[in-house]
Amino acid sequence: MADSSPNVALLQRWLDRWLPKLSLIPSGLASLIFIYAFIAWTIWLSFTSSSLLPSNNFAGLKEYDVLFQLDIWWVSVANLAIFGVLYVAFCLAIGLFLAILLDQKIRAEGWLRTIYLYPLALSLVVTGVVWKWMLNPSLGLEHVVQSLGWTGFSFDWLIDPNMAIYTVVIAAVWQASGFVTALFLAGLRGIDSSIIKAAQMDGASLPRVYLSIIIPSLRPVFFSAVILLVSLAIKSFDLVIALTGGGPGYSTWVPAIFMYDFGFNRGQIGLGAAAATLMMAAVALAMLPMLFAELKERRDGRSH
Amino acid sequence: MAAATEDGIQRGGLIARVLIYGVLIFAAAYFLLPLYVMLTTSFKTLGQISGGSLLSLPSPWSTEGWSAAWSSACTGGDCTGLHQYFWNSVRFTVPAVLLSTLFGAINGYALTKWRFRGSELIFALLLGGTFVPFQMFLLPMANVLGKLGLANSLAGLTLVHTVYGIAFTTLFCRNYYVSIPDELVKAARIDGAGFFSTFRYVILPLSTPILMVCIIWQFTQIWNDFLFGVVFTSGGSHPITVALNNLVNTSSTGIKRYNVDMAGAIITALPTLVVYMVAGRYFMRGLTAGAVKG
Amino acid sequence: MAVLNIENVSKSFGDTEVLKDINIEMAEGEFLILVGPSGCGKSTLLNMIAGLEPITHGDITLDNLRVNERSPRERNIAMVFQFYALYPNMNVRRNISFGLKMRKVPKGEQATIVDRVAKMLQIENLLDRKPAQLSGGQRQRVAIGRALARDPALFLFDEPLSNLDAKLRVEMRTELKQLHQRLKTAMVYVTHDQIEAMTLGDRIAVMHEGKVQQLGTPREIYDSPANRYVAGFIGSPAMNFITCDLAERDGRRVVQLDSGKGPVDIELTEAQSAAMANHGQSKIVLGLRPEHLAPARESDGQSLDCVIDVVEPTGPDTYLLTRINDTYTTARCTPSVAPAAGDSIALTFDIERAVFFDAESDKRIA
Ligand SMILES: Nc1ncnc2c1ncn2[C@@H]1O[C@H](COP(=O)(O)OP(=O)(O)OP(=O)(O)O)[C@@H](O)[C@H]1O
Ligand SMILES: [Mg+2]
Repeated sequence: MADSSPNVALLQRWLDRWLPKLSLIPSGLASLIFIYAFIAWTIWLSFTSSSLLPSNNFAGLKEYDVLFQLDIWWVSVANLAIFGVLYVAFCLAIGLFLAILLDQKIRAEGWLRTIYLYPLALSLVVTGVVWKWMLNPSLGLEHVVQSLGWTGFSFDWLIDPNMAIYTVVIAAVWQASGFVTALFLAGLRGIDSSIIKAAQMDGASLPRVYLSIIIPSLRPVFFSAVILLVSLAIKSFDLVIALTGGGPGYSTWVPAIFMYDFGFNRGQIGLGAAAATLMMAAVALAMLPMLFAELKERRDGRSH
Repeated sequence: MAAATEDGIQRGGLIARVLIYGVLIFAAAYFLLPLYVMLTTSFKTLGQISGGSLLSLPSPWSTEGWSAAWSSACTGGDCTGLHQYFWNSVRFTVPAVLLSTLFGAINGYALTKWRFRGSELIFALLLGGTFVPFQMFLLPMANVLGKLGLANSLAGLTLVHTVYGIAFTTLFCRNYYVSIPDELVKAARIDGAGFFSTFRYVILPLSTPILMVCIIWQFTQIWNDFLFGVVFTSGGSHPITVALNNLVNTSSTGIKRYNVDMAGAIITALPTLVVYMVAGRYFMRGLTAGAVKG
Repeated sequence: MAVLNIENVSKSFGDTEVLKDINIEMAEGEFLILVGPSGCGKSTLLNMIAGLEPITHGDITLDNLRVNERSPRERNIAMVFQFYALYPNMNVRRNISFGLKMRKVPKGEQATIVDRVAKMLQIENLLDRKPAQLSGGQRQRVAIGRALARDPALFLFDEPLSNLDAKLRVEMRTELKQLHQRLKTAMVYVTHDQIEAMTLGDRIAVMHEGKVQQLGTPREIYDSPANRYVAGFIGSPAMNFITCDLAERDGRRVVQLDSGKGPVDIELTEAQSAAMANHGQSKIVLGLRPEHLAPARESDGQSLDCVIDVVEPTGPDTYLLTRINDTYTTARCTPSVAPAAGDSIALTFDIERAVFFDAESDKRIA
């Protein structure tokens, strides 16, 4: 091609060659700094005795020591364990149950799915606010049940330090179980129907088909749902703040609140960083099974 | 699948069918109840709330909760309602959604259609952020925003949301773009188009489904965010989620105004609800369009 | 003057070398075919000519200009792809003019060119349609139109017809040939269909395992294949390969063939004998196309009595399968004289047209 100016042509050629790589630089650089450097920075902070301001005084595992001495940290961890287990279990159970029912050629499936899924579009703050009102001990659901004639009914978990964490479970399950339903439904739709037909030909009853064929083949969906729910649970913050504010007292604290409160309100940056680091470790631990499964899958896939 | 089990259920008969519908409708009621309560409460007067039932309809309907929530309720320090915070949220959500979607699309395009040695590594690098709890980023980010002079500003929030959204948009777009044949890009290059003109004239016009996915996802995530808002802003530059929480949880006046709380909650939820109602089906469709072909 | 010159080109993806030392020079107006089995590197070579793949080693020159570092847009080429690769969002008109637009051709000129190309390919009535509204054949026409619009110095085709049904493929093949005769622009055409290769090409490069096995005119390739691979790849049904003992009788070379009734000596021509003068081995592979093995008439010379195992009528010809030297061998005859399966019949050898390969290296000796 006869280019009028050789310099323009050279620039052109250089751009053709490098633009694809250059275009990735902003995002690549951003993730190097804002993700990887920040992770390293936070981990480093957790090994310093930073208080009001970040400092570089290396303190080894001191902050972790302090953390493990704190009653409030262990309350947070215990709450997270209770919340996490119940949240995941209820979401999976409700999700699977509703998905199986929805998969029976339901006429209004589209509508029902829309209704089940909409809570996911709401922010957790809104979820917390509305459930706080519904669970209000004097004017909320308790009052409704009482006015139905069951005057002795009492439901005051929201202000009961021993029970308040369960209200968080109630609200969180309401918000996410429709989403899990959608996940399972997509999984059910992906199952090869000829396998099921064959099993039914062999005389297997419907519950049997579900128990021994369909549900086991939803394993991958279980996996991804659990991973998603666990990482959501570990990050849970907004909902607790809006619903209970961490109270009564600090009975509904979770690690995310601990991290925020110590890192930003109480000027204990070292402790906050340590808490954040442990949260990341927890997520990583939850991810490991999936990573292994994925790797195994790939290896098996290649051997074919 | 459905066809196979349907036979079984129908053999089970009418009773089973009625039961199934019963359970499904009950579940729908369970999911809708909070929305109903939110709506009815927001239109009640305080007298109706303390005197009546949670489930009763307002009579008469009153908009006093709504006007208070929008323009006069106290959110911590000041008492000007939520309107100012609503616009705050709009002001950082819109640019952050557009920017992160744009970057995600370009990354996905470069990573699938201009593969080079190391591009898989860069993809892995970009994805690394998706599962790390945001708590890991808060302390350094607060520091950096301070140094950049972006602390407590909407520009700062825009930056934060853009940066941490790119991982998701890149993932969505990459998975979608692998399903577009490479030959299209080759044809465009032979036709004389470069990196950006191929993107603009060939790839972008085919991207509507996945751009919808990115926009819906990012809009929901960013609008609903509370953590970044509460950590990186204060006072007048709070996003609406933080303002709502302040409205509900820090009013010190004694009587709780639940009608105002609920109106505020609806105002906060409305944009994402509308997006879900209007465009939710494109979300599922767009996601599966990429997955099926890829 | 060479339109295209490929010198010592090789290509590796990571550690695997997919093209090895390719040398092809192409004259102006030539129709060059790259043919070979799937995975032999045809598309890769084409992409390197186009500038879509970097060259690992060697040089490619277009119009005597080295283009190794040039991007596709700086090369005066156009390309047609196997899966059409039409832009789904643009109508036919915009598909054809996109390359002109990118090269900043004025609008009015674009319209003239589109109209001319559309007329040439008879797609005027399709100009406002989107690719999704076209049939496979129409799409391929548009793809060819997109290439024509650019009026390049060299056309590249990557299996453009392999997606069409058999009938359409034959029609388009003829049209492409006419198109080339009219335009007289050089074309490189990739296919794995040996009939397309034979009918279209001025010259054919047969590729296998990343190497050009033979480069020559269709006649050369067909009559004098360089090796057993080329001989087997071109021609349908494939050439028969019969491993046989080589002997000498009265100063002439003979090969021994056995159809189960005891060995018979077949005498080679003088030229063949001469070419084998230095061949020291006792084994040799006789390559004989089915049309050179036919039922004997009275007048024919050397023949072999064979039992016909299978009879395969195809319409114009009937193929006979028999065993010679324990190898299934195909013979061709006209349907009117076809025997029945199980018949015993004398087959005659057109030994002048036979070729011989070294039993070990597979290279042609004679
Ligand atoms: N990007 C790549 N990375 C690694 N290997 C590749 C790449 N592209 C092609 N190959 C390999 O190079 C070899 C040649 O591929 P090519 O596409 O050129 O074959 P082909 O002759 O066009 O085959 P077909 O007739 O099937 O189109 C194949 O073995 C292929 O696996
Ligand atoms: Mg190919």
